[in-house]
Amino acid sequence: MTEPQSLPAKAPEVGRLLGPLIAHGVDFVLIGGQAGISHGSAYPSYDLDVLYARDPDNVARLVAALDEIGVRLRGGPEDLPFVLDARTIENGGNFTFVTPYGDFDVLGDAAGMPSYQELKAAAVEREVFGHLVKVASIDHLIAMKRAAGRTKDKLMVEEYIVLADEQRKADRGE
Amino acid sequence: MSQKRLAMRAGTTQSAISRIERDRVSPSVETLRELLYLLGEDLSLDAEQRDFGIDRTLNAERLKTSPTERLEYGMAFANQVISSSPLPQREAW
Repeated sequence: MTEPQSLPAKAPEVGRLLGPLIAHGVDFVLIGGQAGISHGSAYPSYDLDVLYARDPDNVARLVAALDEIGVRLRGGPEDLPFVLDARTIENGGNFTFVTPYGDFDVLGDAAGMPSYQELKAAAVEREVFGHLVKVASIDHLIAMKRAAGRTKDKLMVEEYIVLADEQRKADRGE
Repeated sequence: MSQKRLAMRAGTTQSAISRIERDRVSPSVETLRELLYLLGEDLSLDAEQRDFGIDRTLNAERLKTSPTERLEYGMAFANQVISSSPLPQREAW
């Protein structure tokens, strides 16, 4: 995997991207750098990553949410045809979008993750911009960052290990 | 001590000892303990907290804020990095 050679025009507006997902009842888990930040990471993140359940009903809800947000493919040729519907999502799995609210990655699976159900079961529920959101556990984030293996991911793994330790101490009142 | 003598004590071959010394084989902890015992030494393993060079006091302070506050800070920080980065910016929506 290569390191990014460009940056988006702005950081994602996390609340504006999560709002439609919640409103449409999408079954998803927040992962990636923003999930890490919600756990206390100091590393900036330039997109929002979510993993979604792949069942047809949820895909339909996801399509409605993405339609409300307004998405187009990121990094593809301008003339690459893209139809936002359930069939496209079911056939594609992972999508990287640009939206009016910043870059948004919608993933059916990610390297290093367990099954979606296992990921979701271990996720913590956090209030984020007024929404109750399932955030991947820091241990699963560590596994996914290890699997991604880029330089920045390796640095994040180290920070996440320390954060998990600090969180454990805080929970114990130490 | 020569590989041959250690091999004799351990009941193995000189080539087996050689493979370990040349990093061709990674012995189990038990095998390593036994070889060191035969050399008159004890194996000592220790685990201690690794220093990643991360300021834990800053982490502790950040954990006192809410997830939304952390994300707001993260977004502001990312925008600051974007505005000052020499990397080209992708076209906005």
